Amino acid sequence: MVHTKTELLRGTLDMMILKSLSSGTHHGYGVARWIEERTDDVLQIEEGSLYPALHRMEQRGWIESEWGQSENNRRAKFYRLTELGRRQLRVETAAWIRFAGAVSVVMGTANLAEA
Amino acid sequence: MSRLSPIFPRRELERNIEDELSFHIEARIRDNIESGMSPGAAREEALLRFGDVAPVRDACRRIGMERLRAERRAEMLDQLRQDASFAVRTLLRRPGFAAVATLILALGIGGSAAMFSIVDAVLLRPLPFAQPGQLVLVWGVEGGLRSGTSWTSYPDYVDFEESTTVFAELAAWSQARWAVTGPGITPTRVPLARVSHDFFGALGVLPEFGRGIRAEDDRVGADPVVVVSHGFWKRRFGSDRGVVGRSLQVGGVDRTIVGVMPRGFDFPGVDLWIPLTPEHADDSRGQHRLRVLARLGGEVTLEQGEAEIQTVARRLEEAYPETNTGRGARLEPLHEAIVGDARPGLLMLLGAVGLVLLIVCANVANLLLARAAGRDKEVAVRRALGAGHGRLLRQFLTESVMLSVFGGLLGVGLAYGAVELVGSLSAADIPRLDEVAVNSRVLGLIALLSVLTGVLFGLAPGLQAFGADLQDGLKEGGRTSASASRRPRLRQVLVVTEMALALILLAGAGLLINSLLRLRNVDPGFSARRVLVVPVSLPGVRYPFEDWRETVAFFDRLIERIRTYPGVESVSAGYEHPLAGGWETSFNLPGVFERPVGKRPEARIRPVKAGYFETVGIPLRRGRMFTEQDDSDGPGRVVINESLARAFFVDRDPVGGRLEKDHWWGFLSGEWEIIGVVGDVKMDGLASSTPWAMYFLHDQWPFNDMHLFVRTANDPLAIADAVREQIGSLDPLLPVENLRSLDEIRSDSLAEQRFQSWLLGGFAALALVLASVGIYGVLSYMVAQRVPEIGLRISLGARPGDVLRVVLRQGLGLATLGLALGLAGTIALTRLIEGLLFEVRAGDPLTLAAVTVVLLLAALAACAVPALRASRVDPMVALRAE
Repeated sequence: MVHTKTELLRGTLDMMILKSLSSGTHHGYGVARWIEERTDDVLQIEEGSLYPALHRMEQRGWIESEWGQSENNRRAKFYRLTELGRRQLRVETAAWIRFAGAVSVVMGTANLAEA
Repeated sequence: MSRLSPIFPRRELERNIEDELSFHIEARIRDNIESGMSPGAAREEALLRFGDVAPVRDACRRIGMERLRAERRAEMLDQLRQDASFAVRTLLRRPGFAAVATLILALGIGGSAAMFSIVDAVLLRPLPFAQPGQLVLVWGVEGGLRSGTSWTSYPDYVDFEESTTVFAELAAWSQARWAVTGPGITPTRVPLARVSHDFFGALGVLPEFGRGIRAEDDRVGADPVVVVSHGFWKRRFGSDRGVVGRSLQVGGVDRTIVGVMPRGFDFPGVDLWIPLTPEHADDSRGQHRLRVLARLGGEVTLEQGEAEIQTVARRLEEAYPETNTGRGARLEPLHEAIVGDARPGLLMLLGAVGLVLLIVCANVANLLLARAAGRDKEVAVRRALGAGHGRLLRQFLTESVMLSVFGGLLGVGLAYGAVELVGSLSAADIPRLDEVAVNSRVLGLIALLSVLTGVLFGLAPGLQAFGADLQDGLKEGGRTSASASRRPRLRQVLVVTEMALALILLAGAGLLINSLLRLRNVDPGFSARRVLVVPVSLPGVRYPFEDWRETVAFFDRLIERIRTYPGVESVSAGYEHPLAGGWETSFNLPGVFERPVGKRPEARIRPVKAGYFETVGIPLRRGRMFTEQDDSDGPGRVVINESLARAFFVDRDPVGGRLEKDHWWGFLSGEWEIIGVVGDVKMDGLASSTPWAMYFLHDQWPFNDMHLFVRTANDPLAIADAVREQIGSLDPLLPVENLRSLDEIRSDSLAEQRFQSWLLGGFAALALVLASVGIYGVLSYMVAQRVPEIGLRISLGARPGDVLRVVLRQGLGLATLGLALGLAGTIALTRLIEGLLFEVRAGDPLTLAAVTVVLLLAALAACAVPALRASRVDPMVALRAE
């Protein structure tokens, strides 16, 4: 099956990373797997783009990191949400819901019009 | 939060990024293999899913570097704060030292800033006109020479204006002091300028309200108008905006005020501007009464402008040979014309204050070094705690910069004060002095100087601490081996430098003072004692030249009345006071030095009343002076000065000879008989040579603007009120101001030289004090260090006198070294101020010898105390302290 990559807006990616970390501590690959599992691999992101996003968010203080040992004893960088990040997640979620709702209303009525 | 290792943060960053990214890809590969892919396919799929690695790595690296930089910045700020608070605590522990150092620094930095603000306002800042670089003055030059500052006649000016194309504007003006009066205003004499209508346009200045001078105002018969300056408007009309349309009587003519110029504009140093309506005297092409200002058009260069105006001048020469033969023209940038004369003096003072600043730095460095000796333990402890060289040096520098910043802040106050003082002194005719202010450039300089001086003298203890390391590393311990911070070598070097610089300043001041003394001793050619000088100007409107006999009679009456006063030895009148230049005009000596019109020599012209020479004290050399018998109706008579006689008559007796000079008013013949020769007077100033001069009798050459001279038996100013009264009784509308004694006038003429001498003398005195204190400090220190040794010597039989001598020799040795260096520097540098000196050569041995002695004496005094202290060392106490 050919995987076509989905282009994501940066803000959306950040929001999903925050969400993934809200349930626990992950390394970067763990975040990718979490998104994969949650969306049933429908959402295929360019996984490399996770890392600049993670580092930027760490600089902003939304997440913090720690070097540790992975499941098979490899050196990995683990991330977790900070209080600031938690707050940011709430804000972004609310904004997303508003945005998605508005778009679906538009798309929804458009469909009706064509029908 | 993960922090990067402090040693190789960049490499660590790279490693981390590599690890993180490769972990991800490896993990994906493993999972792929687990779900059944072949290793090759697994890898391929993993990389595909990941995307391009390089841009990701770059992005992460960039973010990482940003964080690194931010962290480093925060750390540095933190350290700086630490250093600063530590520095403050350290300085507060020794408040005396901090106070002295701050004070000295304030003097140095504040003084430099004040001097710089003067130089900035006068020399550096462009003139306050639109595009001032295009403004030039047009001078006439005589005799085919290339230099000169001859003025221009009205007809010539008109021709310049009509025939030139390179100038965007060409304007002319002349200046005078006329009586101004108005309803409810006492008459005073006000400086004013008669300006052509394009004058303000050429300068690019618009009136604040109302209007300037227009072309219509220039014409004969136009309604008389006047434009006033901002200052005049404030002083006389209380800033009343309704002043336009009011009337002001200027020079006896009622004029309507049509405009007020903006604040700060008063070019060329006047309060009023009136139209340059051509007068009777302006018809003559030979009367050079105007100064001409021009604005070069667009891209025109000075050379191009000068070429064209010289061409026009040559054409005029051919067209009007009687008046314009040998007359050329040249251009001078306006800025140069205004400030050129002041430049050498100001630059000299700026250089001098720079030297003072260096001495200040050396002095404070010495103070710091003196203190550093007591901080060995502290430094050692900090070293032991891990502070590196860089950190220690930074600490020292923070302290010193803090000191100098405090000094700088105090210096700001000093600079303000000094600038206020200078402004109030209106010292010495320095142009543009009213523009001097402590502005942002000056403040910027203060900030820069504070930091630089702090770094400069802060290096001293820092460097010595490093030296200490090397020394201690090599030597074994032991009380007799002093650690490097205890060696006085650096301090000695500093003191020698201070002495050298102080000598240079002393030499400069000495030369200027010498020059000033010589100027004061110059024989001015007249006797200045007890003579009151009163300017009396009869306005042309009420005393027109047609009624010239009235003018003559007025002065005769005035002189007659004052003569009767008790205490008055003699009274007379003359044009301008003796040290003021005056008009120059051509003359001819038939039979002796006959020349055609246009090639005739020129001499100063001075109409005087009978008794003038006696009153002012100008000696008679040959023939006779004017008496009461000489009057308006008699034959024309003239008295010449010695220089003129010597130049043209050589060995012949000029008395009885003929002099031809066309009368300016044409109502008398141009034939004059030379009746006498008087002594030379320094008409161009005490420092200049004497020009040729012709004295006519006022009755035969009636100027309206004269000066009254009253020689009294006692204080001349005591009779001022009486004189004022008499003038008022003859003509109550005449302003009577600016009464001075001739002595005052003579000393005022040296105001600039006095100003320079005082200032440089002040700098030199400060330098001497600092250098003396410096040498005192170092010698005291050296003595204190060697107290045990001295005690030992005394106990072994050395006499106090011997000890005294040894110590003195050490101290004077330093002083002499400084002297030698200073002399070398003096010889090199004083050459630069030769232009400021009068009859004194830059290498004047007498002056140099004198200042050398002064310096040695000061050094001796400074060394005396430590030397005496050394000689009184009690060997018991000294040895016990071991």
